[in-house]
Amino acid sequence: MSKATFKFSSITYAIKAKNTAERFGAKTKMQKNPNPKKGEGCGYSLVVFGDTDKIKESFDSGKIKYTGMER
Amino acid sequence: MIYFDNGATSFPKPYTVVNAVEKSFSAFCANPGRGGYASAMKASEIIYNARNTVAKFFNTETENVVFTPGCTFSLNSAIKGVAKPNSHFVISDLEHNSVVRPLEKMKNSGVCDYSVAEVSYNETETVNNFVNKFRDNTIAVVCTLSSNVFGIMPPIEKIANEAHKHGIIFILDAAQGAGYLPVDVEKQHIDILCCAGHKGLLGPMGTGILICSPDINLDSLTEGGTGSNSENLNQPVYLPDKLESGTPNVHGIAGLSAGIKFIEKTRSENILNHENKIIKFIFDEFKYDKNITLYTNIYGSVPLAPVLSFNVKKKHSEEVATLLAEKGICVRGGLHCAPLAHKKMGTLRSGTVRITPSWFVGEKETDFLVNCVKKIAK
Repeated sequence: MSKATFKFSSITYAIKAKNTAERFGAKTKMQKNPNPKKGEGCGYSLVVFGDTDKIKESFDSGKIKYTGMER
Repeated sequence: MIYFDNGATSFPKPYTVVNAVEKSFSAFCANPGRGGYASAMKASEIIYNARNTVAKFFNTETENVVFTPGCTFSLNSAIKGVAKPNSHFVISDLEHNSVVRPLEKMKNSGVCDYSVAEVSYNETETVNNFVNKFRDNTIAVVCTLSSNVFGIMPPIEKIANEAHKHGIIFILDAAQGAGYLPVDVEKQHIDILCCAGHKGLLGPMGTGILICSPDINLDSLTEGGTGSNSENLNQPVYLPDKLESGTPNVHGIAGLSAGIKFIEKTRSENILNHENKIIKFIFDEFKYDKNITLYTNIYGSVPLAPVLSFNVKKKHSEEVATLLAEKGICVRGGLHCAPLAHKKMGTLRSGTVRITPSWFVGEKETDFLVNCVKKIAK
């Protein structure tokens, strides 16, 4: 069990990611990106508690576009 | 009121559609994909779930689904989004003005050209007619799922296959038929699918769908706020944001999603069988009436969509539609915004009276319609 925060520019991908992570049994929290970095503009972040390696892998293979990941 | 004008807009809507729209005004009336507070997130979820419902219904990925204000907007986006200077399009001779007018305008302004391929009752002949119109600069084929006037269904899968063999994009106008005719983006090799939300999909007016294959680099027709990448002055390059600027019609989309769920529960094939049964009954009643002209044969070699056009001798179609309206029957007369189809069938001057049934009309209503038409035809 680990924690990771994924960043998304599009709400569509953020919700798709949330649903995918929850299918892996993860707990999630979606919110507006609280600290956008320069160039990021508006976006959403998804905090994931679970098997974050496996979840990241599923995002990558499912072509779920995230703009950043922080552990 | 007896409603047989579902080809224009379906009515009545399932109560689940009405409930979904009503609920949207109280439960999640906030801007989706922008704010982070609870009702904005709820609105975002509603849009996402609707996108997912549409994606599953047409067999594509969620992010390929773009919501639009209607099929006309979807078709304009598709046609103008793929058009390049000096490019060429091929369309069928059954197309609606939503296809013909954007192309005619671009032709008149010298941007591109288009050719019209004849749809016959022989599938091979129809496919060959399309192929014979292909040129080196042909960029896309735009074809209807079924004629909104005569119910004729071109062999879309075969046409799409031939288009792809020539490196040509296939755009399907499914305004008439989506909901009760099978549409599968993957299986039927559809690059861009354009749909109305308010017809066979049973959603509210002001809703439409565009599904774009991620392999197609479709240029945006409108640019603006998407709630994403806002610091960047350029439009996002990924779907659906690329093609979906401005606040979406949350209320309409919630209703559209409920409409599709109703269809899934009722099953498209049951709706189609029900509507076909009604058309068959009307056809059988009209076919021996010497004062009624029919234009298609439902017992012919190819299946037709449940759309029946007719005329009463010595009366204009608009006159017949008006007389029926006086009896509380809703049908449409005239050209149905499809002059090419009327030119093909020789009805450009008279237009036709069009009957398009729904899941919600039965024997009683159909009997009344038939009797009223027969009285007018006497």
